[in-house]
Order: sequence, then C-alpha cells, then structure tokens
Amino acid sequence: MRLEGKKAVVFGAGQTPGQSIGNGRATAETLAREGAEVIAVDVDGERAEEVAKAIIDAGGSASAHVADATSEDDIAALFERCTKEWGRLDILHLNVGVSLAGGDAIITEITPEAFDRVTSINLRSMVLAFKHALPIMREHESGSITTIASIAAHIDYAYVSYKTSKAGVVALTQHVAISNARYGIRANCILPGLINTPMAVENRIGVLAGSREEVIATRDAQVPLGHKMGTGWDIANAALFLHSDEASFITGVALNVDGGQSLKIG
Amino acid sequence: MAGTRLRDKVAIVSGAGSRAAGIGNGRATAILFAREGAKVVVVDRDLDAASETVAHIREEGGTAIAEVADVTSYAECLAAVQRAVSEYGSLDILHNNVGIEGAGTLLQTDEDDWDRVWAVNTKSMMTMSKAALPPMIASGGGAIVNISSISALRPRGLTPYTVSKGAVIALTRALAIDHAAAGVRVNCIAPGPMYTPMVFADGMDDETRDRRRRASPLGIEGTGWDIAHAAVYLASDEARYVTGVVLSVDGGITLTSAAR
Repeated sequence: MRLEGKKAVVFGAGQTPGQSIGNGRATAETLAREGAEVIAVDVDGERAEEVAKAIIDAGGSASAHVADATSEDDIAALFERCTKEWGRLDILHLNVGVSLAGGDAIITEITPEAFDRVTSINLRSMVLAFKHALPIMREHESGSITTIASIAAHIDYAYVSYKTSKAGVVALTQHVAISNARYGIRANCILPGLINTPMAVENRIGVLAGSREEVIATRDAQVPLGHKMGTGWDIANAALFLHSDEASFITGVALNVDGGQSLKIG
Repeated sequence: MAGTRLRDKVAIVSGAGSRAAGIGNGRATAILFAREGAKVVVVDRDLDAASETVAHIREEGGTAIAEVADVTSYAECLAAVQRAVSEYGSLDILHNNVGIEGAGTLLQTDEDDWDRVWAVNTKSMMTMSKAALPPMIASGGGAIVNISSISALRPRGLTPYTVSKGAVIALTRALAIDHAAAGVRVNCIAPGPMYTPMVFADGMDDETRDRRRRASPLGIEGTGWDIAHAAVYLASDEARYVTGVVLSVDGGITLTSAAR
C-alpha cells in the first residue's frame, strides 16, 4: 500500500447526490484503500458519515467529521481533534468548492454577497485550514498537502467568483509550498478540467442543457482527449500520487487533470 | 512482480542504460516500469549499458530486452518500435529519456555544439515519437513521457541545453493536442537538480553536492527514482485524463528566484 499508516484529513469528502462519484469522495476512498486513516470532513454530517461508512465497509479506516470550512472555530476544532487523536497529520486534501450553487454569475450580474460567499468557500476556507494544519505538520517536519483548484483559473470561464477564487487557490498553494518546504512539507495543486461529478453535472441540468444526457454530451465534446470527461477517480489518483512518497521531490506544482483542455488556450 | 500499475503494457525506454555505474533516470524508469508489470524494451546506443539494465530487471523477475539504437536516426527508432511490436505484440508506452548536457551561453557555443545537443535532446524525441505513434494509434491509444528540464523554465548559462529542453515542452504540447482524439497522451517531466550518473560521472565534490541540495527549497537532492515514479504515474491509467502537462520534479526550485 502506498500510504500505509498515514493520517489524512479530506475536506469536502461528502457526496453531492447524483449519478457519478465526486472528487472528494473518490479521493477519501482512494487514500483509505492505500492504507491511510481518513477523517472525512463535510459540512453535511450525513454525507460525511456515508463516506466514512463506505470506507469502513471496504476494510479501510475512517471517521466522519462535520465542519463548516468557512468557520474558523470549526476548522480549529477539527485540527485540535487531529492533535488529540493522532498527535500528527500526514496528509491534508482540500477539496471544498462551489460555483453555480453559491450564486456565482458573470461579472456584470454578480452580487457582492455571492462573490463573498463563493470566495469564502473556495479560497478563504483553505487559508483557514492552512493556518491551523501547518503548525501540526511543522512539528513533525513532514506532511503533504493537495488543493483542488480548477483549470477555470486559466481557461476562458464564464463566472467571475469561481475563476478568480480558483486562481487564488493556485497562488495560495504555491505560497504555502515555498514557505513550508524548509519544514519538509510539500504542497501541490490539482487543476481539474471537465469532470463528470454530481456537482458539475446535476447543477447544470436546465442551465447548460435540458437533460442530464445533454449536459454530459456538451461537456464531453469539449475534451480533446478522446472526447470524454474525466471522473472523480482521475482526481483521486492524482492526489494519491502527489501524497505518496513517490512524489517526495515534488512540491509547488500545478497539475492539470483536464484531458488536454488547457492546451486549447494560449 | 511487486506492482500491477502497468500490467500487460509494453514500454520503450530510451537512454535506459547509464553513462556510468549507478542508477540514472532512464535505468530507474525501466526498472520501475518492469516492477509495475510492463514488458520493457531497453534502448540505448551502448549495448553493455542496455544489457546491464535488462539484467537488473530480469534478476527481479521482470521482462525486458535490450535494443541498441541511435535514437537521432528515424530508421533506428523505427527498428526499435518494430522490435517491441514483434517481441511483445504492441506498444503502449514510450519514455523518451535520452539527453546530453549543453553548457555555456550562446557566445560560448559553436554551431557543432548546438547541432549535437539539438539532435540528441530534441530531434531524438521527434524521431522516436514519430515511429511510436502509428502502433499506439492503431491500438486505440498510448502514453508518451518526455524528459525536459527545469533549465527550460529557468535558464542560466546552459543555452543550448535550455533551448533543446524548451523545445521538448513545445513538442509535448503539440503531440498532446494533435493526437488527443486518437487517445494518445503526451506529457513531460522537468527534473530539477538530480544526483544521477550523468551529473556525477565526471566527479562531484561534497561541497558542490551539498550546494545543489540546498538549492532546492526542500533541501534534498532528487534521484533517478523520483523521475521514475513520476514517469510511472504519467504512463499508467491513473493519469488517463492527464495530457500536455509539464510536471516539475524539482524540490520546489522553480518557485524560487533563479541565481543568475
């Protein structure tokens, strides 16, 4: 197993209802399958429990934790729990994010409230998580962090809050990487392209196209590689590689997992 | 075999010998590919170097054959690809590792230096890829991994090398978009300061080695195994949605300001 004995916290591990697997759940399950003990964090307790149960049923080790990633009190409590139960933290995976569901819009229609809400969930949540997680990792002079940004940071993307907050995630991750390398902590960023997740597909039914099938077909057609979207497992496998000791000389990278979509720009 | 991440895949690794005793990027990659279940065609211009890598793989219970080729020659690349297909039935993975150093500013570089570095570092990836693409496309896809260098992103006084490795990035992106619809993935790795036979073959004192370690923010040096692990990821189905990327394996050095 590639993560034997590692202690991992996965944010956004719960699953938006839908017909495919989300990035967070796929990552939590993959890290656990490779031997990590996982705290599955979600704002929705039932969803967190469901993932933890699935991991345990598959023979892995996990527990659920309810936290609102925009609340510093919740974040502080989560990492206090890590210190108390584990005395360490080896892996931190930050997957929280929202776009349309947060009220995101094009720049001439965005409301300040929606911009603040999306930015608070997508970017500020990660700042808070780092603030409280890094001291634990520094103490043991090791740790691996992955953040989920989006190729929306680089490509032509319609909605202003998502694009700018995800670009902020790339910068934030690089900032954390360079300022914590001396403690043996690695931080890398994954930029998913079009992925067939419940969050991406279900929220666009009736927006991007009329039916689920049409939403999927419209998104598949935009992907250079084989004209098919990726899945949550592709994101999970990227996170697995980056968190494993196989990547011990890799820090500060921004890894596109996008079927080549970002090659279409520039 | 220990792993199954490349089970049933057929791979060519160029430059899979080693310039001196030890484990370079190419040899490490050939060994890890085999450990993950791939059948490996070990290509090198030097038969002894290739055979040593093959012997190492076979001792571990893996499957590999040695093939001598000058990869700057399209005809010889074609022969290597044909050997892979005739021996193992297909070609799924091409790892283009061949490379030589090219020191000096442009004022210190003559035409012959430039042509030699370009031929070995860049043209070889064109000739090998051109030979490998048809069988990959015929079987529904494949994965190519090219070795570039952070020198392409961070130039300082190695101009022929920097330009040749920059072209590797451009080639990677061009092949990635041109052959995406056919299911061929093309990515490159940009290694940072590594401690490999290519670097230490001519001798490296402790002070220099330590300075190179400290150059990376993580304060460690890379080895051929770091590059090989990245190559396994990019070549495997775990990266089935990853194409056209430049993956720096450099201890974070490209986040810092280059000493010039």
